[in-house]
Amino acid sequence: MAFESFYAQFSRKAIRQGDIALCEFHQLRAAGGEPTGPGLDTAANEDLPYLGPHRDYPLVVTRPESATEISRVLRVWTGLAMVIHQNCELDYADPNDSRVIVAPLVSQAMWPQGPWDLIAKNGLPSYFYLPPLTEDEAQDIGLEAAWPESAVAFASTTLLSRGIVKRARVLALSASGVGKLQELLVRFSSVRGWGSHPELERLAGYTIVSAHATGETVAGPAPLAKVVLERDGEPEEITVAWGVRRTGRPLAGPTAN
Amino acid sequence: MPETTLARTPYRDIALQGLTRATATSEDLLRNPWTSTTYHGASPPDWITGSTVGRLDATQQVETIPVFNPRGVCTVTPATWTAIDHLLVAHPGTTFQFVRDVFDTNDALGDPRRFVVAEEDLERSLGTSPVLDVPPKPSSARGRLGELLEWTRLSPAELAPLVGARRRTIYNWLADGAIGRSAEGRILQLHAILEPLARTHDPLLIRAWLGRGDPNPADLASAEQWVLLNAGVRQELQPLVPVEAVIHPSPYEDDAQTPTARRAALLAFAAPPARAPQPRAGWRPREATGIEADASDD
Repeated sequence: MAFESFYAQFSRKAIRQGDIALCEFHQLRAAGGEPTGPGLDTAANEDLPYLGPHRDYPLVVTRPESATEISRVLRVWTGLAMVIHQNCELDYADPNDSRVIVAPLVSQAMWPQGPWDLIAKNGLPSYFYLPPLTEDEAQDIGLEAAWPESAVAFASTTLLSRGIVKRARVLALSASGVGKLQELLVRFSSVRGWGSHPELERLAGYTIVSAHATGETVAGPAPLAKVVLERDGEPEEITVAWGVRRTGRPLAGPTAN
Repeated sequence: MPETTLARTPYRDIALQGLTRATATSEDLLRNPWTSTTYHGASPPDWITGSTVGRLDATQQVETIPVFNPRGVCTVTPATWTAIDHLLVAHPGTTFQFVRDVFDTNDALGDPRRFVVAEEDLERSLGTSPVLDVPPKPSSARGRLGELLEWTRLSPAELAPLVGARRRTIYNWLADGAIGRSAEGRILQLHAILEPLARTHDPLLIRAWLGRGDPNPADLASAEQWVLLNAGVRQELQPLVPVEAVIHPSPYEDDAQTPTARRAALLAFAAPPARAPQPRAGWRPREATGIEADASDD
């Protein structure tokens, strides 16, 4: 992937979708009973990305209706995060709305046990692959160091204030990079995985409740349809791509959601 | 003339805070460059851009003056200000972000006209707002109705729903017509709630505030939601301060501004963690990807 068409310098004027900031991001947690992750490097595995070092800040939250005090923990990381807030929402938000949605970045170096062979092909719906840059390439777009092979962790999305993000930006996606980001965001919110034929066969016996076109297509192009299934009162939903490959083999099996 | 560097003035030392109807002269500016938010000039200050501030010199020529750097330190040449006969815009400690709104107050019969300039990246602090001198309260409901018109710059037709009346009724009241007890109660209530705002805010800003939000304060007054309206006033009374001034200082945030710190962070992003467990043998993603099977097909 040619980096020139993927990265760009960020706009000085306004925050845009695809901007990458070096700042804090967080998770509000219960004071006890939570799994240890995400956070500790020892907790990271193939399914749980390591987002870098963090710090926990105990909080006491008072519920306004009852004055009840609740203990919470704010886990804060410092690292890179990408703005995934839609540009339209950024432009037309109320002037007093300071919120912006970001998703942290993980690097292959920080998270070596991650499934990078799949991530590099954008093969996992919850990651958006970011190609590496050499030091020279990075300097051409204003970065102070080489950019490692990395990815946006959609499942770790959180909310920051514009004031934090705007001043901390270091890089941005190009227009085509943003297009890819948007495509994968849609996929992240609608696709759990690409099913195999054995999984399709597992659905034998389900009743089709409804089917409707999504308006989306996958490479082919093949239109996508949502099919709602039901068996013994348990609903299931799959997305079916209606297309035929050049090989003559079916394009894809179902995606469960 | 040597340059003089003025450190950011502590907020508590600012006498006139936020978007007030205060005015200042160039002498005020010399004493404290952050003491006013209003501008007297012959034309709208549409030439204000970014972090520069324009001024009119003695010959009415527009000049721009770079003022505050991002750290909130103001560097001025004293001679720069002496030629200013009309002050432009200033906020305590502000870094002059992009101008968001320029209100023409339309309250001068000729030049100089008066403008109020609102900037981006300002927010309400938790402090208290300064109080300006206000004339003694009129005792009658009619007098207070007149004040409401003055404070809000609303027309009688616009003010009417706020006090549960029709436009013609407002004119009747102002022309010595009798005001019923119910209407009088609403006028007094609205007057009492808006009075603190009138002490600190330009009428044009109050007018703009009345129409801001959903429901907006005007809606709340029309619906006699006095508690909510009062809460809105209290919020509006919090002084405006630059956003940067209320963000908790963070060494990291400061560091992030420097190339060295950014480089260090990028290097850390490309560095392995202290501990990285070995990948689990036989691990497969829980979601089917189809990628491996596809690769050979394409």
